Amino acid sequence: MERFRGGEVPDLVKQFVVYFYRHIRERNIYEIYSMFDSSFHKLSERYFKTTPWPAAEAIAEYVDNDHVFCLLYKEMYFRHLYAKLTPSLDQRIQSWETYCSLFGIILNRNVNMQLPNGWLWQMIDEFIYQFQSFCQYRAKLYQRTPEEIEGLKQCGEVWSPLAVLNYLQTFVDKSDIVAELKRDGGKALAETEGYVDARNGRGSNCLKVLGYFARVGLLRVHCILGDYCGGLQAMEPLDLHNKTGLYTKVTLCHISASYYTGFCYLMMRRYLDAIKVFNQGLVFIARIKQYHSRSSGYDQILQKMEQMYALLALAVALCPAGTKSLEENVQTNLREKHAEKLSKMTRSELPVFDELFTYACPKFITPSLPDYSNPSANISSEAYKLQLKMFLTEIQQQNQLPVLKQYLKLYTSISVSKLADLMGSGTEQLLTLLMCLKHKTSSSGATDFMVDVDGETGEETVQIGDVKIQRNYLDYYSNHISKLKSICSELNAPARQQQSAKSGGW
Amino acid sequence: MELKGKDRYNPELIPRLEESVDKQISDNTFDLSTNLVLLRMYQFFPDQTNSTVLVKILVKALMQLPGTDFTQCAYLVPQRFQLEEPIANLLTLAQYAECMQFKEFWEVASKCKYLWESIPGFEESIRNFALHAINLTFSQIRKQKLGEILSLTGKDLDALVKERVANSGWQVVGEVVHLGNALKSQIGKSSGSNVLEVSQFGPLMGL
Repeated sequence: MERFRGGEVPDLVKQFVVYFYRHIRERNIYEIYSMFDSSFHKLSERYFKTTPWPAAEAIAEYVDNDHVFCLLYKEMYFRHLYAKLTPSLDQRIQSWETYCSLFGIILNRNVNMQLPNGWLWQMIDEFIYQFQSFCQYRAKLYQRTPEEIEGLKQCGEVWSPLAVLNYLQTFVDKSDIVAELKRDGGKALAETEGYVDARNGRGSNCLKVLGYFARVGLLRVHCILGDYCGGLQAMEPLDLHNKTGLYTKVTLCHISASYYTGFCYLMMRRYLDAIKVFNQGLVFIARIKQYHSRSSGYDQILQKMEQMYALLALAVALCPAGTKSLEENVQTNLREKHAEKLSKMTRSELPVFDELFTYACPKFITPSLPDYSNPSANISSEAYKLQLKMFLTEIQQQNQLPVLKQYLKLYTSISVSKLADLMGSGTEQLLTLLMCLKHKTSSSGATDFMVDVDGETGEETVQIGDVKIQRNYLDYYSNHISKLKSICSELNAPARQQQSAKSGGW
Repeated sequence: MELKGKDRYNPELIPRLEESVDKQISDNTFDLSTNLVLLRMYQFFPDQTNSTVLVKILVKALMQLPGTDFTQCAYLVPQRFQLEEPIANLLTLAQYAECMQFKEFWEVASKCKYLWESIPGFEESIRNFALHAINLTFSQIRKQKLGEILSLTGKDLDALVKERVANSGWQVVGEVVHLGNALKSQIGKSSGSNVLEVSQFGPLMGL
């Protein structure tokens, strides 16, 4: 096996950087992306499975010592290092400095390069991932050597949450993306995908597109801090229902936006909204999955898909009425994956909620500095435990409601005392439960019943509306008729040349 | 308080954010997103946490029920604060209110009145929340039960009922209060229809 030994740069790597540099200078978006997404990974597999790529200094001579290119190269160097090896504190700091220099140049100088949107998204994504990773690293003080702890104390701004948030916000502000999105809903941006036409002189897509993606980045950072409302606010006015927005052209961005938005809604108890967002995201994944089976982000796509199904199961368990808004194949998959868990959740089995939440939640972080005087402490899972606890508290508040709902379905009218007997509770307690049921379901289609009092006997009765759910056959059949029609017309159409499959794009 | 862009991530604004909380108290308003910005600052710099302000925000957030403001604020309060008094008490109160256990709620509340001494309208807000839930659940309710939920008796209860009779269409028949809400007429009306719109029909016929 060929292996890279320190000091010498393999010929293929030399060629790689030379071509890569040339394509970037020639603004050849397609080639740049293919080298970034495919060649880089192939070479990594071949030469750098367990070692880092050659340092930027070693390749600089092949690329005219171009400062910006070297920064871009370093960005990829650290991305690879984070993925395959365990970065040391020094490397973490260097990676932070690389981002600072690169972002500083894009923000403050007129750059002329055009980079593929797929790469720009992954830059934001990786930036946040490394921030998350740093917080975890710092929280596990007990694993750190005394030197590392000394180093951490000196870190200051490095990977600090405020610095990270400020970078993202600066992209948003400087790119003036909010005004643009408000003006035309992102139509112009989606049409050009942010790329500047070479005929219009030499511009760059970087600032504007990074500004656009930074909003999704802000959503994610807020979400892992536990600020769900702030997360949704950061996305405004980026509209997930806009089916032609720029984000739909960058698969990983679309998935990330759906996942974090849906999660925010779930934690804000807006279950119907959560269900709609997850549904939309999962339909999207089902459509594009096949085009990405060989791309570097494929595993990430599959993982996010499974997590979204798990979160969807939670939302559906909490708000069964939302099932109606699911597309057929999402519903089928949900049943295939989680049928047993769903039925356990309707019986309010807490461990199942715990398991699904733990599997599917984002990696929460503790943003504050650790207590350096107590180096044996491990606060790395504190943030996760808090969010889990709060989520389960909400579940516990609802734990008797599914049973109550089942009983209500059996009657059109029942006295409070009798229903209380069935529930094995006192009448006062039952009235409390009935009010609780109304309160908890009022945002997602209230359960149809009321309590009244007989004027003469003073007896309290629950009157229940006809809660039979009308199945909507209409939509079902009309969808199938139109599906059949389109299949028939496709079969009848004259044979055409195989169209090149248009992938979900980069 | 209006916050633009980077203001949300500027720790120098902490004093102004804290002032804004007092302003909300005196104006009887609530600004969730501004308060979340402050809570996030406390989350970043726990040693700068002003626990008086923190309690004020949480009390005000509790007053926003049936909204989820309280939970949203609590997500940002680190665990060790949540375990200590008085925030642990506020969490208990929120739990009781969310579960409609008002008897227990008022019992605990009577012991920590000092928390909302400087915040006008706390009890009234909780009563409004309770009335909101009652209005969703009951079409008629025994007056005594009503008093229990609202923690009102005698003259206070009579005054409230009288005010509602005048303004919200309540009626009192003996010991039972008729809430005059539309629950009765809504019940049993199933939603969803099986009417096919012309616009849906066309494509099916291949038009």
